[in-house]
Amino acid sequence: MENLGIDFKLLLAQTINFILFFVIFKKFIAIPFMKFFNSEKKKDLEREVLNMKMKKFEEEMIVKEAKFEASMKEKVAKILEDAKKTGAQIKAEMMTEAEYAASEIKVKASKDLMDEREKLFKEAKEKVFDLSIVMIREALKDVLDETTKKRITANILKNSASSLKFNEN
Amino acid sequence: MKIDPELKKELKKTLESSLEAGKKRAEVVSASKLDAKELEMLYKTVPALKSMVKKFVVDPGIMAGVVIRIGTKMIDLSLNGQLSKLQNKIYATD
Repeated sequence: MENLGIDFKLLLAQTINFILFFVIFKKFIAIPFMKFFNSEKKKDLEREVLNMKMKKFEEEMIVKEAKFEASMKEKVAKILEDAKKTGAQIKAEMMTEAEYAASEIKVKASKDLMDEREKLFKEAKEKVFDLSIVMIREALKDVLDETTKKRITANILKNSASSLKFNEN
Repeated sequence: MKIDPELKKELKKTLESSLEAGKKRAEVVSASKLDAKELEMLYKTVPALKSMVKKFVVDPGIMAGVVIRIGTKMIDLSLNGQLSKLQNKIYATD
């Protein structure tokens, strides 16, 4: 063995050294390191899980947002439709009211015109009567002489005898 | 305001006497002076005139006929009055 260059003492010492190193390495480096490595791995896993959860949550939020947007669009469309219907209804009602008011105005105007015409006609008639009476009076003033006046007076007195009526002055 | 009852009585008496006097007076308005024939016809128409104090007035405005006023009462037998009646009747028939 010595001829091969192997020193048993050295080998033993190295083996012991190695074993010591191994033990120390295992106890003080490997185990903590592995612990640290495992904890990091665990943390990574947890992070991974959290990320997945976040992603899922985000996807759910996107879906919810899309649904909400769709429902809002639907509501807005419905409100617009209702507003259009109401507007059309109001327009129709206003048209009916306006037509009714216009027809009332027409009827009233026609009635006013008729009344005005009647009034004018009546006034014209009265003026004609008044003028006629004035003309008769004037004509009689010229035509009546004393004889005619006396004849008329006698006639009036004769005819009035039966139908006398006292008036208060 | 209280009025003396004696004064009230006197006032009433005076008023009544003046009314009575008014009743006995008459005013006859004609277009021209009335002759005897016309007067006769007038008394036939209104016999009460005979016993009254008459005042004859000439007013050509009445055109013909007579207007008799006795107190507050009036009888319009004039041509003018007839024309006015006609006018009123025409208005009334409108």
